Amino acid sequence: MNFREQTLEFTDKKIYYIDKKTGEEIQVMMDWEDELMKKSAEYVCENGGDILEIGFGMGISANYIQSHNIKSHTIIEYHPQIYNKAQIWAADKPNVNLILGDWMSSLNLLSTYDGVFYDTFGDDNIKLFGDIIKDYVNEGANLTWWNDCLGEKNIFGWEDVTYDWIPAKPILNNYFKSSVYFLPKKKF
Amino acid sequence: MATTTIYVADDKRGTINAGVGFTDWDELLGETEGDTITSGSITQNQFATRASAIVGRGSTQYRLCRFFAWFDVSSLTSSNAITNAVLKISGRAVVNNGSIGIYESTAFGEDGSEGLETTQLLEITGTSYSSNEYGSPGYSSWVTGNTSLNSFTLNSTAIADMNSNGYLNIVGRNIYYDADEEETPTTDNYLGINQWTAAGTNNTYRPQLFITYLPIATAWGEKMNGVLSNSGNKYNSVLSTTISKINDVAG
Repeated sequence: MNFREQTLEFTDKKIYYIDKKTGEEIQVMMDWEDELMKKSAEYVCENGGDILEIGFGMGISANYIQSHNIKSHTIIEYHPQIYNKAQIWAADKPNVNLILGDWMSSLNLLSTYDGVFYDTFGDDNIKLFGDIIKDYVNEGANLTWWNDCLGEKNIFGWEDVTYDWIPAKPILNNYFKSSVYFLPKKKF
Repeated sequence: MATTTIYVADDKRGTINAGVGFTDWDELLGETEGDTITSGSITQNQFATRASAIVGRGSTQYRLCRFFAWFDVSSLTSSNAITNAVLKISGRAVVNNGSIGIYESTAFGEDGSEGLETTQLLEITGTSYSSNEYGSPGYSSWVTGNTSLNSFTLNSTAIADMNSNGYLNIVGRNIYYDADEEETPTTDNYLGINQWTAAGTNNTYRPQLFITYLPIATAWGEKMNGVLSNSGNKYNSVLSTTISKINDVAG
């Protein structure tokens, strides 16, 4: 089943769903990531300007992005339940541009950006992201992505990616288990 | 010949689940430690084997599940020789190329002195223990839904190990992606195992061994040329129960 069709459950600590075939609880995002989201937001907002965030999740990184001195904040959210939450969150934030859909089919709505945070779930087009996003960033833009790898692995094949090692304390989940988060940093 | 059924003990079976954070299948196959162990009496689908690519948070990750079980057959082999054994497992769903073959394991401290730990994920030898396999593609159809048990006929290597060790230590693995390492999975391929009911309540669907055995050649008396007949159940490495005559003299 496509992620968009999953019925999500929301708590203060996580977003999750139950896989109907396997009975597994699949976490989409959890609040233990707070520090990682903070550090990610710091990097993408380093230049200020226009920020693109792909994947709203629990809104943790979005709050941190809003705490920086930025011009605009464009958010693409794929799942309709999360999009509804994001709409409520964005109601009092005039510099937020919220888009419902997947990033591939939203390209015609995008501009160019000074900072990009890519953090998606169930993205079938992830392998295309590395090539395509290059046309949507300004010179000197900072980009990071949710890095679930157990090390300094660059899934997009870009050169000159550096990593900050951030201590992580994940509770039991099905997507991340390392005690170190390797925050990837790509400057265009 | 006599027969008996030996059920797996509660603390001697489980599935080790691995793969969180792994974006390389080959690296996962060499990993020594899993993430979790699932065992016990549950109602939801229970993975026995899994070799899967999962598109979730971030990049594609892989999942690997192996089912481990250790059977104590020492009460039989102390005075009998096992001549045939069938491992029976109750099944649940097979998805995509989910499959299961039975192989030798060295988990549980090898001799059953330890419980199953996540650190035993790679305690496998690669030696096949069964002469038949289940699942897809191309193997026998995995029976699900409590209608009947799936039967693995254990091969001569497994029989010999049981007779010499007094135990059977097995791991169930996906054949194509895990044991044979033919390809990297691109979909979610798994095969389910049924509920493992609590000891003493209902053993029907508990993993079990149906064993055929023979008493050791007692007809030769306690000794032959000074050698105890049940010394390892063998004379010159030949199982005594397989010897019908010596110099044309029946046992």
